[in-house]
Amino acid sequence: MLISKKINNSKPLSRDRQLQILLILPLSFIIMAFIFDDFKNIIEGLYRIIVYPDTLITDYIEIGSLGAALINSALLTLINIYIVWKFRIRINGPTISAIFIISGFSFFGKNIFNVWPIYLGGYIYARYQKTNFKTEALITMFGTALSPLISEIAYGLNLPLYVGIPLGILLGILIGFVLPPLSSHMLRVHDGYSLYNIGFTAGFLGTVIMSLLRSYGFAVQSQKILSSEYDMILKIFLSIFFIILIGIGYYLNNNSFKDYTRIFFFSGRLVTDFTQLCGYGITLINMGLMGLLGILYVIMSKGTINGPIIGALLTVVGFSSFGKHPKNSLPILLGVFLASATKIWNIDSTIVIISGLFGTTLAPIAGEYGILSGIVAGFLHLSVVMNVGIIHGGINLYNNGFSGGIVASILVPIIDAFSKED
Amino acid sequence: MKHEMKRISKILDELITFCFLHGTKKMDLSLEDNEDYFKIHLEIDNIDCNDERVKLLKDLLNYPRQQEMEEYYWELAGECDRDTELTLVGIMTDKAEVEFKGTSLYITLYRYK
Repeated sequence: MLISKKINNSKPLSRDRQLQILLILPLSFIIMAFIFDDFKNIIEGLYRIIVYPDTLITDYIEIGSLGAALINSALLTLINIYIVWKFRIRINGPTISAIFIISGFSFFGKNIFNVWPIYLGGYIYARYQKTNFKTEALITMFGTALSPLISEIAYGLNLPLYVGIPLGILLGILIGFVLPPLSSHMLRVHDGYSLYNIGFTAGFLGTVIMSLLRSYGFAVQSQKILSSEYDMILKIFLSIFFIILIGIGYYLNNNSFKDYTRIFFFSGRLVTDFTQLCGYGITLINMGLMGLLGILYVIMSKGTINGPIIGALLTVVGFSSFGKHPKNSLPILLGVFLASATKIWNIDSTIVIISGLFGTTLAPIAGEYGILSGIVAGFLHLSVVMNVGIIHGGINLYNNGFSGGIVASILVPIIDAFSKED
Repeated sequence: MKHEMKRISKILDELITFCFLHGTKKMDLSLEDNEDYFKIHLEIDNIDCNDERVKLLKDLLNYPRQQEMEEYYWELAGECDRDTELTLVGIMTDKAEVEFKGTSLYITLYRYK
Protein backbone atom coordinates (compact mmCIF):
# COMPACT_ATOMS: atom_id res chain seq x y z
CA MET A 1 0.00 0.00 0.00
CA LEU A 2 1.27 3.45 -0.88
CA ILE A 3 1.30 6.16 1.70
CA SER A 4 2.12 9.77 1.05
CA LYS A 5 5.55 11.23 1.65
CA LYS A 6 4.16 13.68 4.17
CA ILE A 7 2.83 11.41 6.86
CA ASN A 8 0.60 13.82 8.73
CA ASN A 9 -1.84 15.98 6.74
CA SER A 10 -4.29 16.85 9.55
CA LYS A 11 -5.04 20.41 10.60
CA PRO A 12 -2.68 21.43 13.42
CA LEU A 13 -4.27 20.98 16.84
CA SER A 14 -3.15 23.15 19.73
CA ARG A 15 -2.46 21.58 23.13
CA ASP A 16 -5.52 23.35 24.57
CA ARG A 17 -7.74 21.84 21.88
CA GLN A 18 -6.22 18.38 22.53
CA LEU A 19 -7.06 18.75 26.22
CA GLN A 20 -10.59 19.92 25.40
CA ILE A 21 -11.19 16.80 23.30
CA LEU A 22 -10.05 14.64 26.23
CA LEU A 23 -12.45 16.54 28.50
CA ILE A 24 -15.56 15.66 26.45
CA LEU A 25 -15.98 12.20 27.98
CA PRO A 26 -15.60 12.99 31.72
CA LEU A 27 -17.76 16.12 31.46
CA SER A 28 -20.51 14.23 29.68
CA PHE A 29 -20.26 11.52 32.38
CA ILE A 30 -20.93 14.19 35.03
CA ILE A 31 -23.97 15.53 33.15
CA MET A 32 -25.32 12.02 32.63
CA ALA A 33 -24.75 11.11 36.31
CA PHE A 34 -26.94 13.98 37.51
CA ILE A 35 -29.63 13.17 34.95
CA PHE A 36 -29.96 9.59 36.24
CA ASP A 37 -29.14 10.05 39.94
CA ASP A 38 -29.40 12.60 42.73
CA PHE A 39 -26.49 13.98 44.76
CA LYS A 40 -27.23 11.95 47.91
CA ASN A 41 -27.43 8.68 46.00
CA ILE A 42 -24.18 9.43 44.18
CA ILE A 43 -22.29 10.11 47.44
CA GLU A 44 -23.66 6.95 49.06
CA GLY A 45 -22.81 4.97 45.92
CA LEU A 46 -19.27 6.35 45.89
CA TYR A 47 -18.82 5.25 49.51
CA ARG A 48 -19.97 1.71 48.66
CA ILE A 49 -17.58 1.65 45.67
CA ILE A 50 -14.66 2.66 47.91
CA VAL A 51 -15.24 0.16 50.71
CA TYR A 52 -16.16 -2.84 48.54
CA PRO A 53 -13.35 -5.27 47.58
CA ASP A 54 -12.66 -4.80 43.86
CA THR A 55 -11.29 -8.09 42.56
CA LEU A 56 -12.40 -9.11 39.06
CA ILE A 57 -15.23 -8.68 38.15
CA THR A 58 -16.89 -5.98 40.29
CA ASP A 59 -19.25 -3.75 38.32
CA TYR A 60 -19.43 -0.36 40.05
CA ILE A 61 -22.83 0.34 38.45
CA GLU A 62 -24.20 -2.58 40.48
CA ILE A 63 -22.22 -1.87 43.69
CA GLY A 64 -22.75 1.91 43.77
CA SER A 65 -25.21 3.17 41.17
CA LEU A 66 -25.01 4.39 37.58
CA GLY A 67 -24.49 7.97 38.80
CA ALA A 68 -21.80 6.98 41.31
CA ALA A 69 -19.91 4.90 38.72
CA LEU A 70 -20.04 7.76 36.21
CA ILE A 71 -18.80 10.28 38.80
CA ASN A 72 -16.03 7.92 39.93
CA SER A 73 -14.86 7.59 36.33
CA ALA A 74 -15.21 11.33 35.64
CA LEU A 75 -13.22 12.30 38.75
CA LEU A 76 -10.37 9.89 38.04
CA THR A 77 -10.25 10.93 34.38
CA LEU A 78 -10.26 14.64 35.23
CA ILE A 79 -7.46 14.25 37.79
CA ASN A 80 -5.36 12.34 35.26
CA ILE A 81 -5.99 14.98 32.61
CA TYR A 82 -4.82 17.51 35.20
CA ILE A 83 -1.62 15.46 35.71
CA VAL A 84 -1.09 15.46 31.93
CA TRP A 85 -1.60 19.24 31.85
CA LYS A 86 0.48 19.97 34.96
CA PHE A 87 3.53 17.94 33.91
CA ARG A 88 3.19 19.03 30.28
CA ILE A 89 3.03 15.43 29.11
CA ARG A 90 2.67 15.26 25.34
CA ILE A 91 -0.86 14.26 24.30
CA ASN A 92 -0.12 11.43 21.92
CA GLY A 93 -1.24 7.83 21.40
CA PRO A 94 0.06 6.41 24.70
CA THR A 95 -1.33 9.33 26.72
CA ILE A 96 -4.78 9.07 25.07
CA SER A 97 -4.73 5.30 25.69
CA ALA A 98 -3.82 5.82 29.36
CA ILE A 99 -6.63 8.36 29.87
CA PHE A 100 -9.22 6.11 28.20
CA ILE A 101 -8.09 2.99 30.06
CA ILE A 102 -8.48 4.87 33.36
CA SER A 103 -11.95 6.11 32.32
CA GLY A 104 -12.97 2.58 31.40
CA PHE A 105 -11.59 0.68 34.36
CA SER A 106 -13.13 3.23 36.73
CA PHE A 107 -16.34 1.30 36.05
CA PHE A 108 -14.91 -1.92 37.51
CA GLY A 109 -11.91 -1.83 39.77
CA LYS A 110 -10.28 1.61 39.92
CA ASN A 111 -11.74 4.13 42.31
CA ILE A 112 -10.96 7.43 43.95
CA PHE A 113 -9.39 5.61 46.93
CA ASN A 114 -7.36 2.74 45.57
CA VAL A 115 -5.26 4.24 42.74
CA TRP A 116 -3.25 6.92 44.60
CA PRO A 117 -0.73 4.71 46.45
CA ILE A 118 0.49 3.46 43.03
CA TYR A 119 0.96 7.07 41.87
CA LEU A 120 2.88 7.80 45.09
CA GLY A 121 5.09 4.77 44.43
CA GLY A 122 5.78 6.02 40.88
CA TYR A 123 6.61 9.47 42.26
CA ILE A 124 9.00 8.03 44.86
CA TYR A 125 10.65 5.93 42.12
CA ALA A 126 11.18 9.08 40.01
CA ARG A 127 12.73 10.86 43.00
CA TYR A 128 14.90 7.83 43.74
CA GLN A 129 16.15 7.83 40.13
CA LYS A 130 16.58 11.66 40.30
CA THR A 131 14.25 12.19 37.33
CA ASN A 132 11.07 14.18 36.88
CA PHE A 133 7.79 12.35 37.67
CA LYS A 134 6.81 13.18 34.07
CA THR A 135 9.23 10.45 32.94
CA GLU A 136 7.40 7.78 34.93
CA ALA A 137 3.87 9.23 34.71
CA LEU A 138 2.71 7.13 31.76
CA ILE A 139 3.76 3.83 33.33
CA THR A 140 2.15 4.86 36.60
CA MET A 141 -1.12 5.79 34.89
CA PHE A 142 -1.25 2.41 33.17
CA GLY A 143 0.05 0.76 36.35
CA THR A 144 -3.13 1.22 38.34
CA ALA A 145 -4.03 -2.27 37.05
CA LEU A 146 -3.22 -3.64 40.50
CA SER A 147 -5.31 -1.17 42.48
CA PRO A 148 -7.88 -3.84 43.54
CA LEU A 149 -5.11 -5.34 45.66
CA ILE A 150 -5.11 -2.19 47.79
CA SER A 151 -8.87 -2.37 48.39
CA GLU A 152 -8.68 -6.11 48.97
CA ILE A 153 -6.03 -5.79 51.68
CA ALA A 154 -7.73 -2.76 53.22
CA TYR A 155 -11.26 -4.18 53.33
CA GLY A 156 -11.32 -7.75 52.01
CA LEU A 157 -9.03 -9.80 54.26
CA ASN A 158 -10.93 -9.23 57.50
CA LEU A 159 -7.96 -7.38 58.98
CA PRO A 160 -8.68 -4.57 61.47
CA LEU A 161 -9.04 -1.34 59.44
CA TYR A 162 -6.09 0.29 61.26
CA VAL A 163 -3.92 -2.56 59.96
CA GLY A 164 -5.59 -3.24 56.60
CA ILE A 165 -5.70 0.32 55.26
CA PRO A 166 -2.02 1.24 55.97
CA LEU A 167 -0.90 -2.20 54.75
CA GLY A 168 -2.88 -1.83 51.51
CA ILE A 169 -1.49 1.66 50.92
CA LEU A 170 2.06 0.48 51.65
CA LEU A 171 1.76 -2.40 49.20
CA GLY A 172 0.32 -0.01 46.57
CA ILE A 173 3.33 2.28 46.98
CA LEU A 174 5.64 -0.69 46.59
CA ILE A 175 3.84 -1.75 43.38
CA GLY A 176 4.12 1.78 41.95
CA PHE A 177 7.82 1.78 42.81
CA VAL A 178 8.72 -1.50 41.08
CA LEU A 179 6.45 -1.25 38.03
CA PRO A 180 8.55 1.16 35.88
CA PRO A 181 11.69 -1.00 35.60
CA LEU A 182 9.67 -4.20 35.47
CA SER A 183 7.26 -3.12 32.72
CA SER A 184 10.03 -1.84 30.49
CA HIS A 185 11.87 -5.13 30.81
CA MET A 186 8.78 -7.28 30.14
CA LEU A 187 8.32 -5.71 26.70
CA ARG A 188 11.12 -7.86 25.39
CA VAL A 189 9.28 -11.07 26.26
CA HIS A 190 6.56 -10.44 23.64
CA ASP A 191 8.53 -7.97 21.48
CA GLY A 192 5.72 -5.42 21.51
CA TYR A 193 3.12 -7.79 19.98
CA SER A 194 0.74 -7.35 22.93
CA LEU A 195 -0.38 -3.76 23.43
CA TYR A 196 -1.37 -4.05 27.13
CA ASN A 197 2.17 -4.61 28.34
CA ILE A 198 1.41 -3.37 31.86
CA GLY A 199 -1.27 -6.06 32.10
CA PHE A 200 1.37 -8.65 31.31
CA THR A 201 3.72 -7.17 33.91
CA ALA A 202 0.98 -6.75 36.53
CA GLY A 203 -0.08 -10.35 35.94
CA PHE A 204 3.33 -11.65 36.98
CA LEU A 205 3.65 -9.20 39.85
CA GLY A 206 0.13 -10.00 41.04
CA THR A 207 0.92 -13.72 40.89
CA VAL A 208 3.96 -13.27 43.15
CA ILE A 209 2.05 -11.09 45.63
CA MET A 210 -0.93 -13.45 45.68
CA SER A 211 1.35 -16.45 46.24
CA LEU A 212 2.86 -14.63 49.23
CA LEU A 213 -0.57 -13.82 50.67
CA ARG A 214 -1.76 -17.40 50.20
CA SER A 215 1.40 -18.64 51.92
CA TYR A 216 0.21 -16.82 55.07
CA GLY A 217 -3.29 -18.23 54.86
CA PHE A 218 -5.01 -15.24 53.26
CA ALA A 219 -7.50 -16.21 50.56
CA VAL A 220 -8.57 -13.75 47.87
CA GLN A 221 -11.51 -14.89 45.81
CA SER A 222 -12.46 -13.51 42.42
CA GLN A 223 -16.14 -12.62 42.05
CA LYS A 224 -18.74 -11.76 39.41
CA ILE A 225 -21.02 -8.82 40.19
CA LEU A 226 -22.65 -7.40 37.06
CA SER A 227 -25.39 -4.91 36.24
CA SER A 228 -27.83 -5.25 33.36
CA GLU A 229 -30.44 -2.51 33.70
CA TYR A 230 -28.85 0.34 31.69
CA ASP A 231 -28.03 -1.53 28.47
CA MET A 232 -29.92 0.62 25.97
CA ILE A 233 -29.09 3.99 27.57
CA LEU A 234 -25.40 3.14 27.61
CA LYS A 235 -25.45 1.86 24.03
CA ILE A 236 -27.00 5.13 22.85
CA PHE A 237 -24.69 7.30 24.97
CA LEU A 238 -21.51 5.53 23.86
CA SER A 239 -22.60 5.44 20.20
CA ILE A 240 -23.18 9.21 20.28
CA PHE A 241 -19.76 9.75 21.86
CA PHE A 242 -18.04 7.62 19.20
CA ILE A 243 -19.89 9.48 16.42
CA ILE A 244 -18.73 12.79 17.97
CA LEU A 245 -15.12 11.51 17.83
CA ILE A 246 -15.58 10.65 14.14
CA GLY A 247 -17.10 14.09 13.54
CA ILE A 248 -14.18 15.93 15.17
CA GLY A 249 -11.74 13.72 13.27
CA TYR A 250 -13.58 14.39 10.01
CA TYR A 251 -13.29 18.15 10.64
CA LEU A 252 -9.61 17.97 11.56
CA ASN A 253 -8.92 15.85 8.49
CA ASN A 254 -9.98 18.78 6.30
CA ASN A 255 -13.67 17.76 6.25
CA SER A 256 -12.98 14.38 4.70
CA PHE A 257 -12.17 10.75 5.35
CA LYS A 258 -9.37 11.05 2.80
CA ASP A 259 -6.33 8.87 3.48
CA TYR A 260 -8.01 7.07 6.38
CA THR A 261 -7.08 3.69 4.88
CA ARG A 262 -3.38 4.50 5.10
CA ILE A 263 -3.65 3.70 8.82
CA PHE A 264 -3.88 0.04 7.69
CA PHE A 265 -0.27 0.26 6.49
CA PHE A 266 0.88 -0.01 10.11
CA SER A 267 0.99 -3.37 11.89
CA GLY A 268 0.20 -1.72 15.22
CA ARG A 269 3.15 -3.28 17.00
CA LEU A 270 4.48 -1.19 19.88
CA VAL A 271 5.39 1.69 19.34
CA THR A 272 2.81 2.81 16.72
CA ASP A 273 1.54 6.27 17.62
CA PHE A 274 -1.18 7.18 15.11
CA THR A 275 -1.36 10.80 16.32
CA GLN A 276 2.19 11.27 15.02
CA LEU A 277 2.06 8.92 12.05
CA CYS A 278 -1.34 9.90 10.62
CA GLY A 279 -2.40 13.05 12.49
CA TYR A 280 -5.14 13.73 15.02
CA GLY A 281 -7.90 13.79 12.40
CA ILE A 282 -7.40 10.24 11.14
CA THR A 283 -6.65 9.04 14.69
CA LEU A 284 -9.98 10.35 16.03
CA ILE A 285 -11.87 8.88 13.06
CA ASN A 286 -10.19 5.53 13.80
CA MET A 287 -11.05 5.77 17.52
CA GLY A 288 -14.72 6.48 16.78
CA LEU A 289 -14.98 3.71 14.17
CA MET A 290 -13.36 1.18 16.48
CA GLY A 291 -15.81 2.17 19.23
CA LEU A 292 -18.78 1.58 16.90
CA LEU A 293 -17.21 -1.71 15.79
CA GLY A 294 -16.95 -2.69 19.47
CA ILE A 295 -20.63 -1.92 20.09
CA LEU A 296 -21.54 -3.94 16.99
CA TYR A 297 -19.53 -6.86 18.40
CA VAL A 298 -21.44 -6.62 21.70
CA ILE A 299 -24.78 -6.55 19.83
CA MET A 300 -23.80 -9.50 17.60
CA SER A 301 -22.83 -11.45 20.71
CA LYS A 302 -26.22 -10.57 22.24
CA GLY A 303 -24.42 -8.97 25.20
CA THR A 304 -25.61 -6.41 27.72
CA ILE A 305 -23.60 -3.23 28.25
CA ASN A 306 -22.45 -2.91 31.86
CA GLY A 307 -19.39 -1.57 33.71
CA PRO A 308 -16.83 -4.10 32.44
CA ILE A 309 -18.05 -3.81 28.84
CA ILE A 310 -17.85 0.01 29.03
CA GLY A 311 -14.28 -0.50 30.29
CA ALA A 312 -13.46 -2.81 27.38
CA LEU A 313 -15.00 -0.46 24.80
CA LEU A 314 -13.18 2.61 26.12
CA THR A 315 -9.89 0.68 26.24
CA VAL A 316 -10.34 -0.37 22.61
CA VAL A 317 -11.11 3.23 21.66
CA GLY A 318 -8.07 4.57 23.56
CA PHE A 319 -5.69 2.07 22.01
CA SER A 320 -7.06 2.93 18.57
CA SER A 321 -4.76 5.93 18.83
CA PHE A 322 -1.87 3.59 19.57
CA GLY A 323 -1.90 0.51 17.37
CA LYS A 324 -5.43 -0.80 16.82
CA HIS A 325 -7.41 -0.38 13.62
CA PRO A 326 -10.17 -2.46 12.01
CA LYS A 327 -7.79 -4.38 9.75
CA ASN A 328 -5.64 -5.75 12.58
CA SER A 329 -8.43 -6.04 15.20
CA LEU A 330 -11.18 -7.82 13.24
CA PRO A 331 -9.22 -11.10 12.89
CA ILE A 332 -8.75 -11.18 16.68
CA LEU A 333 -12.46 -10.52 17.30
CA LEU A 334 -13.31 -13.24 14.78
CA GLY A 335 -10.91 -15.66 16.50
CA VAL A 336 -12.47 -15.06 19.93
CA PHE A 337 -15.99 -15.25 18.43
CA LEU A 338 -15.24 -18.59 16.77
CA ALA A 339 -13.64 -19.84 19.98
CA SER A 340 -16.64 -18.85 22.09
CA ALA A 341 -18.98 -20.62 19.66
CA THR A 342 -17.07 -23.90 19.96
CA LYS A 343 -15.85 -23.87 23.57
CA ILE A 344 -17.64 -24.39 26.87
CA TRP A 345 -18.45 -20.76 27.64
CA ASN A 346 -21.60 -18.82 26.75
CA ILE A 347 -21.10 -16.52 23.78
CA ASP A 348 -23.29 -13.79 25.32
CA SER A 349 -21.67 -13.72 28.77
CA THR A 350 -19.91 -10.52 29.79
CA ILE A 351 -16.62 -12.28 30.46
CA VAL A 352 -16.52 -13.80 26.94
CA ILE A 353 -17.47 -10.50 25.29
CA ILE A 354 -14.81 -8.52 27.16
CA SER A 355 -12.29 -11.23 26.27
CA GLY A 356 -13.02 -10.47 22.62
CA LEU A 357 -12.80 -6.70 23.01
CA PHE A 358 -9.73 -6.74 25.26
CA GLY A 359 -8.29 -9.56 23.12
CA THR A 360 -7.49 -6.92 20.50
CA THR A 361 -4.35 -6.36 22.59
CA LEU A 362 -3.05 -8.98 20.11
CA ALA A 363 -3.94 -6.88 17.05
CA PRO A 364 -0.25 -6.39 16.09
CA ILE A 365 0.01 -10.15 15.41
CA ALA A 366 -2.73 -9.88 12.77
CA GLY A 367 -1.17 -6.64 11.51
CA GLU A 368 2.26 -8.20 11.07
CA TYR A 369 1.59 -11.85 10.22
CA GLY A 370 -1.84 -11.71 8.57
CA ILE A 371 -5.48 -12.57 9.13
CA LEU A 372 -5.06 -16.29 9.85
CA SER A 373 -2.44 -15.66 12.54
CA GLY A 374 -4.78 -13.08 14.08
CA ILE A 375 -7.67 -15.56 14.17
CA VAL A 376 -5.43 -18.21 15.80
CA ALA A 377 -4.24 -15.64 18.36
CA GLY A 378 -7.84 -14.70 19.24
CA PHE A 379 -8.85 -18.36 19.42
CA LEU A 380 -6.03 -19.15 21.87
CA HIS A 381 -6.56 -15.97 23.86
CA LEU A 382 -10.05 -16.93 25.03
CA SER A 383 -8.86 -20.21 26.57
CA VAL A 384 -5.83 -18.61 28.22
CA VAL A 385 -7.67 -15.60 29.63
CA MET A 386 -10.36 -17.84 31.16
CA ASN A 387 -7.69 -19.74 33.08
CA VAL A 388 -5.01 -17.26 34.17
CA GLY A 389 -7.24 -15.16 36.44
CA ILE A 390 -7.12 -17.81 39.15
CA ILE A 391 -3.33 -17.44 39.46
CA HIS A 392 -3.49 -13.82 40.63
CA GLY A 393 -6.92 -14.18 42.25
CA GLY A 394 -8.44 -11.41 40.11
CA ILE A 395 -6.31 -8.62 41.58
CA ASN A 396 -4.88 -7.73 38.14
CA LEU A 397 -7.55 -5.76 36.34
CA TYR A 398 -5.75 -6.18 33.01
CA ASN A 399 -6.19 -9.94 33.05
CA ASN A 400 -6.53 -9.89 29.26
CA GLY A 401 -3.18 -8.08 29.04
CA PHE A 402 -1.64 -10.88 31.09
CA SER A 403 -3.17 -13.49 28.80
CA GLY A 404 -2.34 -11.49 25.65
CA GLY A 405 1.31 -11.27 26.70
CA ILE A 406 1.45 -15.02 27.26
CA VAL A 407 -0.21 -15.80 23.90
CA ALA A 408 2.06 -13.38 22.02
CA SER A 409 5.20 -14.74 23.73
CA ILE A 410 4.29 -18.29 22.72
CA LEU A 411 2.80 -17.61 19.30
CA VAL A 412 5.11 -15.04 17.72
CA PRO A 413 8.32 -17.14 17.79
CA ILE A 414 6.40 -20.11 16.36
CA ILE A 415 4.80 -18.09 13.54
CA ASP A 416 8.18 -16.48 12.92
CA ALA A 417 9.92 -19.84 12.66
CA PHE A 418 7.52 -20.99 9.95
CA SER A 419 7.30 -17.73 8.02
CA LYS A 420 9.30 -17.17 4.82
CA GLU A 421 12.74 -15.54 4.80
CA ASP A 422 12.85 -11.84 3.81
CA MET B 1 19.62 8.53 32.85
CA LYS B 2 20.20 4.86 33.58
CA HIS B 3 21.61 2.43 31.02
CA GLU B 4 22.76 5.32 28.81
CA MET B 5 25.32 3.31 26.82
CA LYS B 6 22.87 0.45 26.37
CA ARG B 7 20.32 2.91 24.99
CA ILE B 8 22.88 4.21 22.48
CA SER B 9 23.68 0.67 21.35
CA LYS B 10 19.95 -0.04 20.99
CA ILE B 11 19.64 2.99 18.66
CA LEU B 12 22.56 1.68 16.59
CA ASP B 13 21.11 -1.82 16.57
CA GLU B 14 17.81 -0.52 15.18
CA LEU B 15 19.46 1.57 12.47
CA ILE B 16 21.84 -1.18 11.39
CA THR B 17 19.02 -3.74 11.20
CA PHE B 18 16.82 -1.31 9.25
CA CYS B 19 19.51 -0.47 6.69
CA PHE B 20 20.57 -4.06 6.05
CA LEU B 21 16.94 -5.10 5.66
CA HIS B 22 16.53 -2.39 3.03
CA GLY B 23 19.28 -3.32 0.62
CA THR B 24 22.43 -1.89 2.21
CA LYS B 25 25.68 -3.71 1.41
CA LYS B 26 28.16 -1.36 3.09
CA MET B 27 27.91 0.95 6.06
CA ASP B 28 30.38 3.25 7.83
CA LEU B 29 29.52 4.24 11.34
CA SER B 30 31.00 6.67 13.84
CA LEU B 31 29.95 7.42 17.39
CA GLU B 32 31.13 10.39 19.46
CA ASP B 33 30.67 10.70 23.21
CA ASN B 34 30.93 14.47 23.66
CA GLU B 35 30.55 16.44 26.87
CA ASP B 36 26.91 17.44 26.27
CA TYR B 37 25.73 15.02 23.63
CA PHE B 38 26.24 11.81 21.72
CA LYS B 39 26.64 12.09 17.97
CA ILE B 40 25.94 9.11 15.74
CA HIS B 41 26.88 9.31 12.07
CA LEU B 42 26.14 6.66 9.46
CA GLU B 43 27.08 6.53 5.78
CA ILE B 44 25.09 3.90 3.99
CA ASP B 45 25.45 2.63 0.42
CA ASN B 46 22.83 1.08 -1.83
CA ILE B 47 19.68 1.69 0.19
CA ASP B 48 16.34 0.86 -1.47
CA CYS B 49 14.97 4.38 -1.97
CA ASN B 50 11.65 3.06 -3.36
CA ASP B 51 10.69 1.41 -0.08
CA GLU B 52 7.91 3.30 1.71
CA ARG B 53 9.64 3.18 5.08
CA VAL B 54 12.88 4.48 3.58
CA LYS B 55 10.89 7.38 2.08
CA LEU B 56 9.49 8.09 5.55
CA LEU B 57 12.88 7.85 7.23
CA LYS B 58 13.33 11.60 7.68
CA ASP B 59 9.89 12.08 9.23
CA LEU B 60 10.23 9.06 11.52
CA LEU B 61 13.68 10.03 12.81
CA ASN B 62 12.61 13.62 13.36
CA TYR B 63 10.03 12.70 15.98
CA PRO B 64 10.25 14.98 18.98
CA ARG B 65 12.31 13.60 21.88
CA GLN B 66 9.91 12.19 24.48
CA GLN B 67 11.54 11.00 27.67
CA GLU B 68 8.33 9.60 29.15
CA MET B 69 7.91 7.28 26.15
CA GLU B 70 11.61 6.48 26.00
CA GLU B 71 11.63 5.40 29.63
CA TYR B 72 8.91 2.86 29.00
CA TYR B 73 9.69 1.57 25.51
CA TRP B 74 13.47 1.93 24.92
CA GLU B 75 14.17 -1.77 25.44
CA LEU B 76 12.12 -2.56 22.30
CA ALA B 77 14.58 -0.79 20.00
CA GLY B 78 16.59 -3.21 17.85
CA GLU B 79 14.64 -6.25 19.09
CA CYS B 80 12.75 -7.17 15.92
CA ASP B 81 13.91 -7.77 12.35
CA ARG B 82 10.43 -7.91 10.76
CA ASP B 83 9.22 -4.49 11.77
CA THR B 84 11.05 -1.23 12.46
CA GLU B 85 11.16 0.96 15.55
CA LEU B 86 12.47 4.09 13.81
CA THR B 87 9.79 6.07 15.66
CA LEU B 88 11.46 4.94 18.85
CA VAL B 89 14.85 6.11 17.57
CA GLY B 90 13.21 9.49 16.91
CA ILE B 91 11.78 9.53 20.42
CA MET B 92 15.25 8.79 21.85
CA THR B 93 17.14 11.47 19.90
CA ASP B 94 16.95 15.27 19.87
CA LYS B 95 17.93 16.02 16.30
CA ALA B 96 18.24 14.06 13.06
CA GLU B 97 19.87 15.06 9.78
CA VAL B 98 18.99 12.79 6.87
CA GLU B 99 20.39 13.23 3.37
CA PHE B 100 19.96 11.08 0.27
CA LYS B 101 22.55 11.21 -2.53
CA GLY B 102 21.47 8.78 -5.24
CA THR B 103 21.31 5.42 -3.49
CA SER B 104 23.58 6.60 -0.68
CA LEU B 105 22.15 7.73 2.62
CA TYR B 106 23.77 9.91 5.30
CA ILE B 107 22.24 9.99 8.77
CA THR B 108 23.46 12.09 11.69
CA LEU B 109 21.72 11.84 15.05
CA TYR B 110 22.24 13.92 18.18
CA ARG B 111 21.23 12.83 21.66
CA TYR B 112 21.74 15.42 24.38
CA LYS B 113 22.74 14.26 27.83
